[in-house]
Amino acid sequence: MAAEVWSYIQLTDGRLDETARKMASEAFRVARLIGATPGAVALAAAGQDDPAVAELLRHGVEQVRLGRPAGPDGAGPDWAGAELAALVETHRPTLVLFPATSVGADVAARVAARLRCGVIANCVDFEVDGDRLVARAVVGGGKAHRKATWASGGVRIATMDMGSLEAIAQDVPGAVTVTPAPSDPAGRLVRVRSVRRWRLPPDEIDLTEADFVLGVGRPVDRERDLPAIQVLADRLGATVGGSRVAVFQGTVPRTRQIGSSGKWIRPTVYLMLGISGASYHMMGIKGAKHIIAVNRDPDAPIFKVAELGVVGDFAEVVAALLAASEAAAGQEAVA
Amino acid sequence: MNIVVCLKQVLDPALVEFDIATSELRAPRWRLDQLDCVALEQALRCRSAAGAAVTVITVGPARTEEILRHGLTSGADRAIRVGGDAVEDADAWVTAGILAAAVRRLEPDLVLCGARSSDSGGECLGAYLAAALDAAFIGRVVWLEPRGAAIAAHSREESGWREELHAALPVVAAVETALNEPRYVPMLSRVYREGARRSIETWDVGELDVEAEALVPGWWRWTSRSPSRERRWESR
Ligand SMILES: Cc1cc2nc3c(=O)[nH]c(=O)nc-3n(C[C@H](O)[C@H](O)[C@H](O)COP(=O)(O)OP(=O)(O)OC[C@H]3O[C@@H](n4cnc5c(N)ncnc54)[C@H](O)[C@@H]3O)c2cc1C
Ligand SMILES: Nc1ncnc2c1ncn2[C@@H]1O[C@H](COP(=O)(O)O)[C@@H](O)[C@H]1O
Repeated sequence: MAAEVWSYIQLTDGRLDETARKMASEAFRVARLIGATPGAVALAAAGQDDPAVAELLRHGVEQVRLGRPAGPDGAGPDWAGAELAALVETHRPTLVLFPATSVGADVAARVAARLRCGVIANCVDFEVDGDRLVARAVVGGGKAHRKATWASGGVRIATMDMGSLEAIAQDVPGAVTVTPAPSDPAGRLVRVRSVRRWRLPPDEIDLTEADFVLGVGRPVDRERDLPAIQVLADRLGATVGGSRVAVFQGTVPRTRQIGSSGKWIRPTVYLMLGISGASYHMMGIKGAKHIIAVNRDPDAPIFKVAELGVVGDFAEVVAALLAASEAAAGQEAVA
Repeated sequence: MNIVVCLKQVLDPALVEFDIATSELRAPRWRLDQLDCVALEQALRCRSAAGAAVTVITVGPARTEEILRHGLTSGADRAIRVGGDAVEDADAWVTAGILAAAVRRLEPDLVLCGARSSDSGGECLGAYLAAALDAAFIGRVVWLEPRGAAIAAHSREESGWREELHAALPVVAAVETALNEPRYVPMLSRVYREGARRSIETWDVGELDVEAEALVPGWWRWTSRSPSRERRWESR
């Protein structure tokens, strides 16, 4: 039987999100690199006919292993770790990939600890060097890469730097085999009980966790402009932060400062209103995926890095976005 | 309650750079990892709330005693450095094996460590420790409360999601910055002066019960960031 590379797929509301699609594509890519079969393990999938399974297939996965329903203590990370460890132990894939997200890394660590195997974190790529599999990983907050191999034999575990991954649909339909987990209650000793799960509203999320950040700078006035910006942020599900000048002016609190001496953010979208793009500010936004800048000055340094730039008055842009979001909400209500 | 806090000395993350000449990450100074400051603070808070003894421990060469001293002057009761030959070039795997053997000896009820360190960031040390101690593991902790013989904690997930988890002692908890704001202890305070006088114990890896296979490091070396994020889709 050919060796397998697995990706750990976490379903959100029963569906594959961007992270899950990237992970499926990564199993396909790495399996090709090292000459193995691409597989996926999805604990919460409903079964063979789950649409999520079909989507995994469309991203190049050929083997899907499913978990069993959660036990009485809920589907917490401890349950996921125990369940996955049992699956890995049964099928012995050579490499198991996890997203380097907080939950992904947590589950990876639990599986590794149960199976006593090593984890290489924040991997970008792999290569085969003689008889060893070498991983290249991001270290020192992105200052360098490190090449490493696993000291432990047998199963290897890696967490993947999500910024390096792409989700690519494959037009080669694989012959998928779906295998449910073996029932092995002994392997499921769960010590940590999940009591409840909830989501913080965007204005309570720490900036470092926010997926959508709206940053304000010097020209934004707390009394005159902030109320409308807050409404916009609520509609967009964005968390509001600001430059150091915005903090000094009292527009946003100190805990909402973005930059080298404030929070280092890594949102998918960072929308900046009236921020020049000083180097101290830029340091804290290196992790932002898409930067959209609104600035009156066409020569503002921020336009050198912004993916999308609007040269104009931020207040007008806020008003236009509010109007657009109202129109969109109206249409949704009609539909 | 017996609390152990794992402290790691890291290259100052604000100053760390990749040195092309030596192919190494370098920084002009070392410091205590920020998340470990948070872990230490939580231990001190649990102690004043529930009455406990706090031990700080690190696996590392003599230079790492600096962070243990910080632990003592912040109010920890006891400090242990685990040193020896195996420690000199220990990677995350070897460190975990040694630390687990040392912490096991202390028979803790609660072990606090950082969720990940700023320089290597393996994010797996806490789970390893828990497995070695036969303890429960709670990761990504942003809120924590001892409740008799159990711990209640909130774990963070992506995009503002939270999960409340409960586990019976012993527990290993890996903490995040949002958990607390570490205290500043003035040099003239009684706590600081008492901590400055306390001695640091050193344990040798050789005296610990570490499995031989846990002492074999993996192969690794630094490389610069290039060839950056380019990745291949076909084998050569
Ligand atoms: C040690 C040190 C640490 C620092 N740490 C940080 C940090 O962590 N975070 C941080 O942000 N800064 C930090 N700074 C400060 C930093 O150098 C800049 O001064 C600061 O980021 C500038 O903030 P700003 O962009 O809001 O203001 P400005 O640089 O004044 O920029 C305002 C921008 O708004 C534009 N503008 C004006 N009116 C409008 C309008 N009506 N519509 C649209 N655009 C308009 C202007 O064209 C300009 O580009 C630090 C500085 C030092 C020395
Ligand atoms: N050498 C060490 N000595 C003591 N604790 C450590 C050591 N290395 C890691 N830790 C602990 O493990 C956490 C995670 O570190 P890392 O595995 O490097 O991501 C740190 O925040 C420390 O609490």
